[in-house]
Amino acid sequence: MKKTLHALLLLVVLVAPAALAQDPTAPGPFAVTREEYNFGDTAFTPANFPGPVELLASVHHPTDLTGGPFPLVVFLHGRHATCFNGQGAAFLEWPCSAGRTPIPSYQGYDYVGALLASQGYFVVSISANGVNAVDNTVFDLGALARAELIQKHLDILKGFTTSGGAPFGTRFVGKIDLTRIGTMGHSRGGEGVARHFTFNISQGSPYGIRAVLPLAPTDFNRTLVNNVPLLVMLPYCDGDVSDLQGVHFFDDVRYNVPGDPASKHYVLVMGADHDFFNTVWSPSSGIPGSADDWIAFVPAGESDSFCGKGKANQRLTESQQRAVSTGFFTAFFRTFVGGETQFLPILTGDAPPPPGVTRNLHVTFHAPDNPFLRRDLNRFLTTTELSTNVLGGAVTPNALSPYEICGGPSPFPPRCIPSANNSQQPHTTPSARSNAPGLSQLHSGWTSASGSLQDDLPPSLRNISGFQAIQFRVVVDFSDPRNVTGVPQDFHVALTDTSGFTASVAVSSVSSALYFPPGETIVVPKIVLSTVRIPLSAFRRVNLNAVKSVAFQFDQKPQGNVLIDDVAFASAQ
Amino acid sequence: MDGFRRSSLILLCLAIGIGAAYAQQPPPALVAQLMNAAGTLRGQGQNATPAGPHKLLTYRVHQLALSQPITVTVNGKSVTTSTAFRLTVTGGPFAVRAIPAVIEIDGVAAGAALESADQSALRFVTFDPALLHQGARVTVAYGEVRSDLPETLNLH
Repeated sequence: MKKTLHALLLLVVLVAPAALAQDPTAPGPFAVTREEYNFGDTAFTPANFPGPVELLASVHHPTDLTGGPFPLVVFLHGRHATCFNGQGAAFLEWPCSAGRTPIPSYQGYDYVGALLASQGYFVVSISANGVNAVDNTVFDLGALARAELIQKHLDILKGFTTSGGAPFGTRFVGKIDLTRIGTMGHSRGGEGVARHFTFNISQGSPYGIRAVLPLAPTDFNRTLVNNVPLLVMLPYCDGDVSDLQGVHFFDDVRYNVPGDPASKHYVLVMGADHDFFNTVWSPSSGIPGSADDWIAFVPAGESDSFCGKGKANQRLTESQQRAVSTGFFTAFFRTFVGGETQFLPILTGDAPPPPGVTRNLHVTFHAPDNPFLRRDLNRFLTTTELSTNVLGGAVTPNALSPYEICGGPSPFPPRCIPSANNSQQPHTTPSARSNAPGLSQLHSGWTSASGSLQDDLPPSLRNISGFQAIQFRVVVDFSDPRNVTGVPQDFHVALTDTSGFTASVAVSSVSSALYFPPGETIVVPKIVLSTVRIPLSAFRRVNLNAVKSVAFQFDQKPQGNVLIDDVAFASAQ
Repeated sequence: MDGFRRSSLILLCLAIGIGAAYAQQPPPALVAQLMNAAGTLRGQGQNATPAGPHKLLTYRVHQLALSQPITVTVNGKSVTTSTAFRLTVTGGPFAVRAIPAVIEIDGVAAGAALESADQSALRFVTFDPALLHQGARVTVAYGEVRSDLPETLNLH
């Protein structure tokens, strides 16, 4: 009876945060107007870029502008065919030849632009066909050109909101808040918004970029996006950027700048592909060039048990996938541009995704570098951390094999699973235009229930009562037969206080991060770390003012092998 | 060569290539212009059977005369040249996508290719006179997915 009561209490504790999250996708109070501005197909040429670019964008805004200025969200699509003809053929050229029509990739996010506008945002979606036409001929593959294009549009919007101008006259004067801007870029556009963040800084930060969201992004150049909230969205069944290289945006900045005040997030969307986030790129649009990229680009992809077309596969439909982007775009921008903190639990994984969004996704969170919000325990950056953690406490492995760091800079092996290809190991996939190393991680396996890893806390740092949770990133190593194919792993996390009292929580009771990575076709299964956050309140009766050790007890399965990183005590706010 | 060794070699070559590439880049406008410039045909293949996942057909190699010499880095060395070479690989269609098609010569990544307007060909420009050599093996790679051209380069 007592055990049952404890279990119920634990369940209440763990589920309680979910009740706090509201629905960021609920339509707002504003009626919405959609308009466009177009200054011509060749109106802009980025510096050192070999072709002209159009200045064309859509604008969603509250119809009634009396409550302005409104914060701004900017969208930038990625690389795609630029033109099509009446015979169903797509082309790559700019401007389009006679008889051919531009592909309106920028219109592909209208579904979420309209929603955000109803919630009180200006949403501008930029066309970038001119960049796409020739960006493979420039060394950075168009990242800087995209950044300059965004900045050019911000300059245009500055004109609209200060003195006005065609085609809107003076209607937008004083209505766009250029100190509160969020940017979202898809695919190469994702790298574009990252590059734009640094470009804006290089120009003296004329615009207030408050949040950056790369969606299924490339990261050829390893731009470092420091000091700004970051959300990277990673589709597990991406058939185009199949190595999910955009995870580097998160990995590279976790400890890059001391005192970085911004939280960082990514979400791994199981069953999502690359293109369905954009309606124009999706097959239902009927526009030439649209595709299910998993099927189109992964040989024999249609037969994959997870990402393919079989009856039991877990692929999301177009509308299911857009529900994910809608849910996370709104939660992210309303939190970090709009200042509505009630949605933050969605972005930390403390609350489930918004209604209508698949639950088969994994949210990862890295707290700001603030001593009140994060106390790192083990980062696994150096071999020293195999024996002494960041706090100076002892690290004690027991019956672990392997027990080693992989994936970081030399002397660590550049990849954690030698037998798997780069696309299966996004954290260590190489970059086309950078030599930056991949993520260093702990590779840890066990063959008996006595396997464990203990981190001690030094006496002066044992009061952890001010933090919400203990958290870490973890993923199951699919290549090790000690993990049973298709079966989730599990282990306990235990806290012990100075009186010797220990309480433990099974990871499976709070998180699905120990799933066995699914699929079997070329680029899947993949190892992508996901955050496990265990509320400290779940460790009942442990004195949180005097915790002397944290232990991973690999006692739930007889054997296994996982990759672990970023062990910390952390709070979201 | 097993997959890991091949990947490691490609990684090493990629790393070297990145370092070299940063050294001295040709003007982007020149590269874009050379993608379509007229030149002297130095060789072309005959294959008509689609090969590999990207349905590669055949190739053409053009030698291109520059209007003025440029200085670029080739294999880590700064060289001044008045000549470029363009490899065109036909087949596909080569859909326009985020990940660039990478041309590999003899198993080593050489650079990103640009799709032709109708997506029936990939074009790649180099200033290295030794890269596109007699008997060279050509591969098109999009990440892990590779297609080998079924004929080696035959130049004249």
